[in-house]
Amino acid sequence: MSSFLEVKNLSVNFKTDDGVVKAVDKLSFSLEKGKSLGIVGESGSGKSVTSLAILGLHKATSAEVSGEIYVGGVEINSSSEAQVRKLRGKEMAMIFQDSLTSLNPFYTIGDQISEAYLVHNKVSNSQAKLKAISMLDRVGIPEPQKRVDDYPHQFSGGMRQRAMIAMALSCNPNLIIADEPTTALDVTVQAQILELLKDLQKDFGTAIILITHDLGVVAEIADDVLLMYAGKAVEYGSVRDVLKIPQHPYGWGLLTSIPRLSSDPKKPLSAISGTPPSLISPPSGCAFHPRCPYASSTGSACIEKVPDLLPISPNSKHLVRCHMDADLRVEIFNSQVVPGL
Amino acid sequence: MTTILKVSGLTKHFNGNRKGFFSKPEVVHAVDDLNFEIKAGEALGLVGESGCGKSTTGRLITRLLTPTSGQIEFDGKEISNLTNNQLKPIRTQLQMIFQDPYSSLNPRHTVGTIVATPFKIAGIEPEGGVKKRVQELLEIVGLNPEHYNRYPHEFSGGQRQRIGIARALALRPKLIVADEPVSALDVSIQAQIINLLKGLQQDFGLTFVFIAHDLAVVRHFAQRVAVMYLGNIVEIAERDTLYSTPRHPYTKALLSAVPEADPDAMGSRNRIKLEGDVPNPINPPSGCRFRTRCWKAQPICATSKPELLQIGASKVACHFPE
Repeated sequence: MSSFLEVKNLSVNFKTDDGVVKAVDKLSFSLEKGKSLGIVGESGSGKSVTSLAILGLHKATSAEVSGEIYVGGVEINSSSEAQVRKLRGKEMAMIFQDSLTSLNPFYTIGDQISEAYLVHNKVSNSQAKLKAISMLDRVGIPEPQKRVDDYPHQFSGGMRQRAMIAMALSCNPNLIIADEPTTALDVTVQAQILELLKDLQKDFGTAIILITHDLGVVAEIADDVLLMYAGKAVEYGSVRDVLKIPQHPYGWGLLTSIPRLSSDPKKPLSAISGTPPSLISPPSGCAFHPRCPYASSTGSACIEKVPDLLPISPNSKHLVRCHMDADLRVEIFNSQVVPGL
Repeated sequence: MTTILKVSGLTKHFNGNRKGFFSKPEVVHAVDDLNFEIKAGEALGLVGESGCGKSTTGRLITRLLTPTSGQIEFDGKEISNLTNNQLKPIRTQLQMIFQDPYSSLNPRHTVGTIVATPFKIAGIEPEGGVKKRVQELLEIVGLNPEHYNRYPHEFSGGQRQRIGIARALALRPKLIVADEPVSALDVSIQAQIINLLKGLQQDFGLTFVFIAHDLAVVRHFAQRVAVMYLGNIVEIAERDTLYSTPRHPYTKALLSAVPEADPDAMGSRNRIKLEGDVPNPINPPSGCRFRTRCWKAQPICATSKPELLQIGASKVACHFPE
């Protein structure tokens, strides 16, 4: 086992009254220490479900999790609740999107940061508080000795997100999962938080999984990118591969549909038609085919058969799930996608 | 082009909490002394971070809120102090599109009822009947007119936003205030809605006030852009001027903070890092409200408030513009 995090054939199904929701379908990826992976997709693509599975947070009564998840060599999915609990906080931690609802309004910021530290370390309460103060200082909260006794409502949005990061880092975990950590923040504060995350990663050598729908944030922070659509990985590779020379029509659609500061504002945006599919009865074959402008180019393959996630050329680490011929994809990319970027 | 909306000295203060039972309530300075004009057929973008007063401005223009002071002149008529009854005929020409397509549609009403409500409230009987007109509207915004009898929960977020747009279009308004119309939508859907709104603007000659926090989205929609900070307009200019030569330090910082979906773009750009957060609007800084986060601040910025003055092609409120 070389990588710190190794996910193999992860599937998560939810049973509902309307049928089985295949939220995540045979997902595999890996992540080294000190590196960041961006998981990108729209709502319902399975990004958050994946992160909860890694943390072992799915309830056995509602979700069916299959596949293997190795965190530092320990397989999560077959471990007992008590074993996973020992890892949570110490080996892996999570930063949630909405810091206002994720923090307990009845406890001080200091209490909440020291809590995880007390669980995993044999220290006194006062030592844990000192740790909380030093963590708050590290994430750039001014006057940490004073602010440690504040309640969440006394912090601004950006400060609460910093406190969440301090909490996640308090036990020096090897893996941090950040689920949309900056979506609720303003751009100028978002820039501060992204800077902080990059900085801390350098200092602590943490592996970071960044879950987001914002390709700009991914470009800023990720080494690798996993693009998800309807519970499946459709493209996986380095950030340059996926954002500069994407090979999947969904990636093309995303890249050309986002308004940019550099594109011509007079040209209409090239929108992806249609809406994301239902996961209870996903489209046959490639889940993207009803929205894909090139689905007819492969005859009926896209409608009948689910494409495999394959390297774009032998030995390449850039994987794509598309029936189209590699040469045809390159041709379409160069002639139709590049002009729209 | 004629001026359709003229705002002068527009101010809105909200009363906040009282410190003690007999003390005066704290005052939230949501919007302070705004002055701007919108020409007919134009789209004005209002950008800024949360709490800068952009939504309050939108709600003041549509008179969902009553201003504390200042004038709003719509289509040559002063509307800032009209009563609800007096506003009724004006509301047919002034409509709003809301941010959240989930909470802005009544879940117990069918789409037909929702889009027909403006006719009922205004007491207007459209030519050919309400149902026919509603189905036309649904078609205009790209929905299937046969879905007339469905309920909002049967639609996706993007489709719901289209219902909200159809409702705003129903009475053929002159001015539409769109408050963050795409921020609740998925990336692949945002482009669809922006293109739809742009098409409607051209087809019907609509005037738009487009409120958003996303600078790239505003750039694709608005012809003129106003940047707000803590209740003030700090810069207002034509789109191309504002984005190519931002003159206010805040505009510059805001533009540099937008992450680009290009891993190679980072090295080539100089990011201006702003320290701290937006100050509390209950007790805004004296003088220039941006001075507490500004790297160019001098003593004069604390003592005198900069006026919104013409500099080159832009109007800027700064003592030391770029």
